[in-house]
Amino acid sequence: MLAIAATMVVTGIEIFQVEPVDPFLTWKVELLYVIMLTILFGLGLVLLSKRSRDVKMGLATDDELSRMIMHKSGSVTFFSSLLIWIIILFLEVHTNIESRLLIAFAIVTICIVFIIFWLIFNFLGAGHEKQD
Amino acid sequence: MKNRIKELRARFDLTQQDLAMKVKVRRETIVFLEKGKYNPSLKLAYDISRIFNMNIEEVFIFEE
Repeated sequence: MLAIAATMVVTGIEIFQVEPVDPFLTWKVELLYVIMLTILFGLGLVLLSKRSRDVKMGLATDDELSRMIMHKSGSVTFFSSLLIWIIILFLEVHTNIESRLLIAFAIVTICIVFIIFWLIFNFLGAGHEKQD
Repeated sequence: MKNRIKELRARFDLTQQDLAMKVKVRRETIVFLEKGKYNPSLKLAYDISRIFNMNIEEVFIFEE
């Protein structure tokens, strides 16, 4: 999670440094990024407070289910990222959006996909192996 | 796979948090186990069964 947050912050710096080709589009991308970062920051605070509460109570903060959720989210994100890069490739060829911005946007999207699936598996359960 | 964790927890007067602390997992893992949304590893199944002084097959019911 720390790696995801760090990646998003570094990518954000890249997004804000890109020269505006279309000022309106850049403004929208920046606004979207700030909203996503705010959500991520809020989520991080909630998770940190929960983790510190668990530590105080003497509860485990990491176990076999949390590791499975992490692996499963990573797996889904990998396959989603293939699709994301194809879309980015298409946008690179057919639009005049700067490549740096597209790459930064792809990285952020991959981070967001990971967070979304991590949340889904955490709240709805990661399922389990079928006993066939 | 079904399990009797909720029933046994009540019988032994344990909260989900108590059981989680005893088997060194998160409380959420116990919640998912009780809801049947997660099949535990053999080690966790063994640890939980040991808390209730039972065999694994008495706590976890395998369905054909």
